Amino acid sequence: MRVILRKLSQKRHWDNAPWLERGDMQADVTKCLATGENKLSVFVLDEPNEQVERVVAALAVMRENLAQLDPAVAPEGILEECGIQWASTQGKTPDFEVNEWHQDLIKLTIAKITRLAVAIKLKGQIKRYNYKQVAEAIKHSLDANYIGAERMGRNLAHSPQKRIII
Amino acid sequence: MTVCALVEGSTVPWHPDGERDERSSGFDVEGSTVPWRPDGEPNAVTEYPPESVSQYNLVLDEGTEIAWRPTRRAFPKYSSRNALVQFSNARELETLDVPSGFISANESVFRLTDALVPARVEAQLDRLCSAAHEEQFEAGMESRFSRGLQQLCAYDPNAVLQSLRARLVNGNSAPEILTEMLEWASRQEAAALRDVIVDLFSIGLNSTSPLVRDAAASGLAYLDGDAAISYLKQAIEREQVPELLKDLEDLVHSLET
Repeated sequence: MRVILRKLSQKRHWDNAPWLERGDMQADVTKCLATGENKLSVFVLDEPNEQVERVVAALAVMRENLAQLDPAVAPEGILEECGIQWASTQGKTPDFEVNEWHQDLIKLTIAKITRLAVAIKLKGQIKRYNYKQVAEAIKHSLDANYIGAERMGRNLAHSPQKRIII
Repeated sequence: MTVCALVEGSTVPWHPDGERDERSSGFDVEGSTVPWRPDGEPNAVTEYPPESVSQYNLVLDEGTEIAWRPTRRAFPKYSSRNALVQFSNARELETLDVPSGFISANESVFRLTDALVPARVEAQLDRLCSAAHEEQFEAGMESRFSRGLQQLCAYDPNAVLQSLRARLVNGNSAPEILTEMLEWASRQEAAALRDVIVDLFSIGLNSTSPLVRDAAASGLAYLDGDAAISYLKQAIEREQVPELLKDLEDLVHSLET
């Protein structure tokens, strides 16, 4: 099943907080779906079992420090259910093949973003890759030459944290 | 010939009127702002008798690092707020009586300390936190806020960490700012600070904010690895948010394997 993947900025916004009414969500989830020019960056994956970790590695390796990474993964079908259009655009990660999986969700509106958030919550999974798992993912991608070592984020490549990865 | 040097970054809110005495041995290092001669009096002589120097007090910002030291003997009128310019031969640093507010040593660099530096750190931290409200933080990325914390640490890391601790205990800062603080703290590798930082995380694990608890758990795991497991297991016993509970359990599992 094809899925979409969106990196979340704060996983805790998606929790069922005790104060929430049944069926509702925290308003702060929209921070994770912040648009630019009414567009939202996602990755569309044909083989999520293999590809999610590779996307995690590609995103994490561009950072300055090793830290957890929280991807939301949901069936691609929710885009059509939410009336959302998309356009293929090249990603900008150091993994060239991951870049091919990148899409922009376009012509987004408040209503569509809200429907998307609800759909992700109801039909998707909010995952957590802790720092160790992120390090392992990066190492796998480096070992498989998906990412060249020279393309690691400059700060990560020169930081003491690199020893955790390699 | 007497010399006086200001280290890079010294701030001098006081300085004489604008004309530099070309023959003065006083000199500017990068960042300092001293056109160097006494108020009102053009002075071609670079030597300043001790009894006259007291009128040329330099008021330095708390925390300014200075490459020279004042002496009580020569300048009895100084106060702990002001750092007096001491004109001495730079090649003969003698052991002198040290006024309150200065580190005593034969070292060539001193800092205003004790009551002065923590107050400065606190004020700077207030400003950083205030500005941080406008920032969007991202895990794994430095921010203006985290870089500001790093610069503050150059003054007195313990004062910075104690101030962060107070903010965690009071819970007065926004959760996003506290999480950014904790992520920054997890990257501080100085062994001397480890116990203080672990204490920070243990306080964070008891925060009322799930964002802060999460950041504390992640930071503690990163900083302390296996040693974090006992803290995390205690946090698991207390955790009420199901999703965060699962993340904590997964984190412990990850550390144990």
